Amino acid sequence: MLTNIKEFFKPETIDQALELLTEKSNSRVLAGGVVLSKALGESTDYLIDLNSLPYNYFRISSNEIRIGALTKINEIYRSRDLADLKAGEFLQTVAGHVASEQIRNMASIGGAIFARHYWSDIIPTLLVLDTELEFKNRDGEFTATLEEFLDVSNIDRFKDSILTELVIREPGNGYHFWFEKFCRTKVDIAIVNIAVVYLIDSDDRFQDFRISTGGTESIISRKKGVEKYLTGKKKYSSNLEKASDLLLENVKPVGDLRGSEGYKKKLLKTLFLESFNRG
Amino acid sequence: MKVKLNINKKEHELEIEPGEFLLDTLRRLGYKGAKRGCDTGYCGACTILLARKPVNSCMVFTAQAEGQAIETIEGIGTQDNPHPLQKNFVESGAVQCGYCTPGLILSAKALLSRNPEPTEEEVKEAIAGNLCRCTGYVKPIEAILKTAKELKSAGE
Repeated sequence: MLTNIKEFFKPETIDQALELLTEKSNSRVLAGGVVLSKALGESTDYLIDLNSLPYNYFRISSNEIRIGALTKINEIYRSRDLADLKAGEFLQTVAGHVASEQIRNMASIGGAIFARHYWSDIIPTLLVLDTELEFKNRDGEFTATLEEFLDVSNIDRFKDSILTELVIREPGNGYHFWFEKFCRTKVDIAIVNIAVVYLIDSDDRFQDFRISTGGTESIISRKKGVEKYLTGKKKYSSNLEKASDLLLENVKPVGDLRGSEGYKKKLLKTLFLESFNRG
Repeated sequence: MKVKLNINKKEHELEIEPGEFLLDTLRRLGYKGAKRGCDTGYCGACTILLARKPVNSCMVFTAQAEGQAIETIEGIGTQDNPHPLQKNFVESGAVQCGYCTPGLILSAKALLSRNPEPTEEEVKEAIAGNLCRCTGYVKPIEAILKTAKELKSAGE
């Protein structure tokens, strides 16, 4: 039991939720509760349960997927409709890597983003899909990229805001998608993971190369140096080897009980090179 | 705060603390099949079905569960009239200390509800969040697959 919680609110509209969020200091919004239930600080006095709000849905068109922020990870994993788009199919595959059935039934995709866990499987995947986020605060609605949200220098911009929707656009025909996670057991969090999206053009060159990794630094990001290097290059092993060296130069893995920094770097290189054999 | 909980199709109206977890509430109401194992959402000993889906009750705030059907191991069968999963777990030797068993059975029940003919891999995926230190999982998997076959035959 969290004895510090004074009140538990269940707003029925987002405006009610926003009013509570701004007027009750020391309040936290609750989506799935997977993170909050075990990581809530003692300074939190109020919980605002968002689950009555209408942000659990998929809206899929020919080139775009809109996912309500309260949609559960398992609903993504089991959706029949998401696989109609390659980006959706990719996200589904990754969703199946997240923890256990029990956790996936509780965890929301919005919560997975807000948690900003450095070992997240969802965040690198959404980063390589160039995901946009829709927010609402008391001033109205606004859009931000996931990259902007993760940038700590922007943190004030998102204060007292509620994430309502994710927008993922299908990259186009012929793209390759790859996600790999190295972990101790099926339900464990990643030691490292890697998400890669790219196109190979008619000249066998990489185009629009996108890469992100988890478990490799405190804030997950796109690896722009590697992306810039490989875009326009042929898919030769020498280029991939050089790219993997660049990748390792630009990560500083968080050494933890799952693996040291050195171990994680070795794993990351292997996963990176493997992604081109199997992606 | 007052909440109304639907547990095994029975309505309970009770006072809870705002920060109370469902596992604690269930156990103090006498539904002791759900066990406290790791208290961090890893072991699955606290698994119950919420709106027919397995969740870790140690991580669900009781207030969150209001308005959703809660199913515990006590609700799926009795000693005189056990659920086929319970019967097969016992007969297959899938129960040793029994601590993981309620959670495992509920995860299996949820699986068979959405996938009546699971493969062994699908069973393993469904119960991956229920740790067992005794059985090595062989007999529980056997019991689940046996139950699936029996339920399919019964339905034919």
